[in-house]
Amino acid sequence: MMNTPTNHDARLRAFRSRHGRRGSAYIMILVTAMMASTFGLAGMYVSRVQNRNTGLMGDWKEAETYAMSAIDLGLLIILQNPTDWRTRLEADSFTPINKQAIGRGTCTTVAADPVDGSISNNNTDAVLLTGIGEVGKSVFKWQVKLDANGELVPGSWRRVVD
Amino acid sequence: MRSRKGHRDAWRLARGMGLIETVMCMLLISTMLVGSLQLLAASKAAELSATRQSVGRQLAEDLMAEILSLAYEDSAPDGAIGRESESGGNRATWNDIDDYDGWKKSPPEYKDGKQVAGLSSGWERSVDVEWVGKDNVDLVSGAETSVKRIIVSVSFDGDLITRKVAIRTAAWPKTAGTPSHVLLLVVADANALDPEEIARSNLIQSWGWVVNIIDDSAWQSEYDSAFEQNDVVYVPATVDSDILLLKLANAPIGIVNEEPKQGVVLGLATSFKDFATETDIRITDNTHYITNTLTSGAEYSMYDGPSNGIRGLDGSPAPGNQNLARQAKGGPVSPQIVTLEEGAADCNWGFATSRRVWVPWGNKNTRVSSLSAEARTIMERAIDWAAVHD
Repeated sequence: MMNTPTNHDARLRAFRSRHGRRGSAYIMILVTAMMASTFGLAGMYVSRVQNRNTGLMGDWKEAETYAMSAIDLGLLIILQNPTDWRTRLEADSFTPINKQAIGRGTCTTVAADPVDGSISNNNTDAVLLTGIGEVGKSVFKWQVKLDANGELVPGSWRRVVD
Repeated sequence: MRSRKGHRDAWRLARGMGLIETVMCMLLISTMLVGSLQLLAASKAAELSATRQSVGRQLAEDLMAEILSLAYEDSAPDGAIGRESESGGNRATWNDIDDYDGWKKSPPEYKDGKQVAGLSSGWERSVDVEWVGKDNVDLVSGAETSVKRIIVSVSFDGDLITRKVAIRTAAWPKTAGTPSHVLLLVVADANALDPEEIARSNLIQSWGWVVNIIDDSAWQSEYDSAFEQNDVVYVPATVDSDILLLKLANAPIGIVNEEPKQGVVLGLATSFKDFATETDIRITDNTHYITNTLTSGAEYSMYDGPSNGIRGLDGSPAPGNQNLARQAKGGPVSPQIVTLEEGAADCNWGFATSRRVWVPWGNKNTRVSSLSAEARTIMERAIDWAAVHD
């Protein structure tokens, strides 16, 4: 018996021409490409974050060094003004060094009397000297205690965390 | 003519991709592939840059700390920046900061002349020391100003990686210590320190550290606050691990530990082994900072005086452990000096939140005065290493 084209076969061919399978290949390729791009971008983002963290840690350690330098410069003021360093510190509004440029950042020295707030009214009061180092967004503060003679008390170093 | 079934079979067999589809797919794939490879290359370059920055920073900080530990000027100053009579080739004899002026070294070396392990000859460190104004540290002076500016530069293959600047003045007291080193010493009773805790504190302070103390029974919140104020924790064998519990387990700062039970808590191993009659350890890895002044394969006693034995790891070790020494005699091997890097896998199915070090003299009765010179060197370098974190 001879086989003749049927209506069913014709409908199949029409359906195939309208709703062909070709588009699915493009979609698969596009999805795969999108995934590959996402992975690549994610890797790039992770590297950027790592770089930023490394930079921030470097800034923080550098700010620590500048804070120590600020303390040192404050001690020099006292050394070079042995008779009137207390008056001198008050005259400078307790901030004899204010955002002085150093390296990639700045350093600031702040003096304070922990007893009554006035450094010059009593020569026996201790003094707290705070050194502030700033690099970018990183801020580090060291604080030391000075005795009545303006000499650093060993072991009095303290990191100030706001 | 084909039957209906034959048509369906033919239709199935005919499935596949046409030439146009194939070409389009290849175009899309190649475009995306090129883009992805470029991203990968950029990502790798960024990673390499971050690694070099980190290494450069460490090298600069290490050298700057070494310089800042010295005096402002020689005890017999000659009125000029530079070495007075010290040998130019032996840094160990340099005794004031301007001895470093003009110094350059590649590859980097420690103060004792030993090369820093793991660094290629492309790395170079150099130092400049100048007098500067006290009101403007960028203003260089040819004459004494009582203020010296120190610049440490680190480069790789001629490219500047990092530069560190610090100031030192004539006012800096000799007893100031190095304030960037603050250590938290855990003690059994903060109100009544054990003499051996005092001895450890004194020894650590002699290395330039500022020592803060915290009771092993303090609250976790007090420990969390203390972590903010300190660079490293030292746990002597005098503390009670059953009281200290897990307070250090997630510490963000490095830990050097003597107490055996606490070493298990910190994830270094699942148990420890006591060698009560032994004193000697054998160095198995001297490429690490902690042991690189010692000889690989050599045996060293941890005691010069009365011994309290040594203690090493046992059971299952942390996958991330680096073993630096073992017991000198007998077997099986029990690691005696062990480091666990921050982020490395511990034996508690997690990752170390900071650097950890196990040292072998963990006995409540161990006297600091009995420790040998090598044991003290290991202790000092273990603290230095654990205090560093990225």
